Amino acid sequence: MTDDTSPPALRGVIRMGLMTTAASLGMGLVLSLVVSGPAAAAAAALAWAGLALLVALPVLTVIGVLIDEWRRREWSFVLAAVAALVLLGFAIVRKMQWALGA
Amino acid sequence: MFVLFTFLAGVGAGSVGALLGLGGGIFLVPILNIGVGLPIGQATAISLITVISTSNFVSLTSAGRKFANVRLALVLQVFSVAGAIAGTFLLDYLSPGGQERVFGATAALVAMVMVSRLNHRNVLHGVVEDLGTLGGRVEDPETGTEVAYRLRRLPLAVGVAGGAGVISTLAGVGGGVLIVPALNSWCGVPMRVAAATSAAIIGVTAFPGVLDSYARGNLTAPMLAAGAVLGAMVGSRLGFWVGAKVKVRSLKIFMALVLAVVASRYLFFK
Repeated sequence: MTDDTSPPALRGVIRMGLMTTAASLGMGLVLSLVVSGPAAAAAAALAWAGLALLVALPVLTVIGVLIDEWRRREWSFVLAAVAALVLLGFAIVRKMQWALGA
Repeated sequence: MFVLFTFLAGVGAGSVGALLGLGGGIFLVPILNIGVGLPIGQATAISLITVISTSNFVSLTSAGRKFANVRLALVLQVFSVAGAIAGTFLLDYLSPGGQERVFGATAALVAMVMVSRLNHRNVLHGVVEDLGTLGGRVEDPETGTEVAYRLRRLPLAVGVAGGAGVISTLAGVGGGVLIVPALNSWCGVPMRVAAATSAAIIGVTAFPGVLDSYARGNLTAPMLAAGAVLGAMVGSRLGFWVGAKVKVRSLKIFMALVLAVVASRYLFFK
């Protein structure tokens, strides 16, 4: 039988991440509508920061599950979480190499 | 004006995504591509970001916490992410038109499977001791009783997760269009559990596709992406509010209709 609830600490991280993302994206959008010139760059930076945080959340989620399964000493699920993180890391490294190569 | 349009598109995609356990990208990509006029690469990039948003939002809702099978999601994520990475390699060789036709055919197949299994509940009645490592018990909101389920055909679920990962990267969708029907119709997982578990999977699955889109220069409009993401956040809440009021059978019929429309769009009207 599985425990069908996500770890509370993980929920806290996701909630905080989504709230920060929404705030950053919202401020970036509003700023972009009311400012122009160099200040517009700040609006874009806010939007980019929000998007970057949002994209990072899946990785944080897997790390959270890994920690939770480690505490429960459920090694087969720890292994699954590590495998997922290795794959996500591979995707990051591959795209960094691509970007640096370009 | 375009930002407002992407916000509204995000609301629609997020609500349907939360309702059906999909990322909502299946609707957002055509809207951004045809409605806003973005190139397909940019549309899929923005769509994948909203998929991450919807996935995380769903995991915070009471339905997401109650119904998602976290361990099943974890196991399937390994294969869906591997598929998504494979999709980034395939993107080098497949034309956009070919990708759309593959996706259309897949959506049509899944719609047929859903319609053919409308009355299949996938719950075990009576006292059940052995639910297996990846089974579970949840409260059925329609009857108010606790129901149990046991995961069947794990290799099939793993294969579908891998395929969903490939589709996710190629078409800019979450992959829930494959995962939800497969878990529900073939693997013995109740619909609401399948939808919530799929939602947990698709955010992680979208990650390689987003990185790939950024590396290819397809993520160049942060304000449009911001509008779509904020819309998806609002839409996700709306979708769960509606989802609590509809029955599983209605959910399946609606999902099949949605998939049929999407399939015909990609196969005949592109």
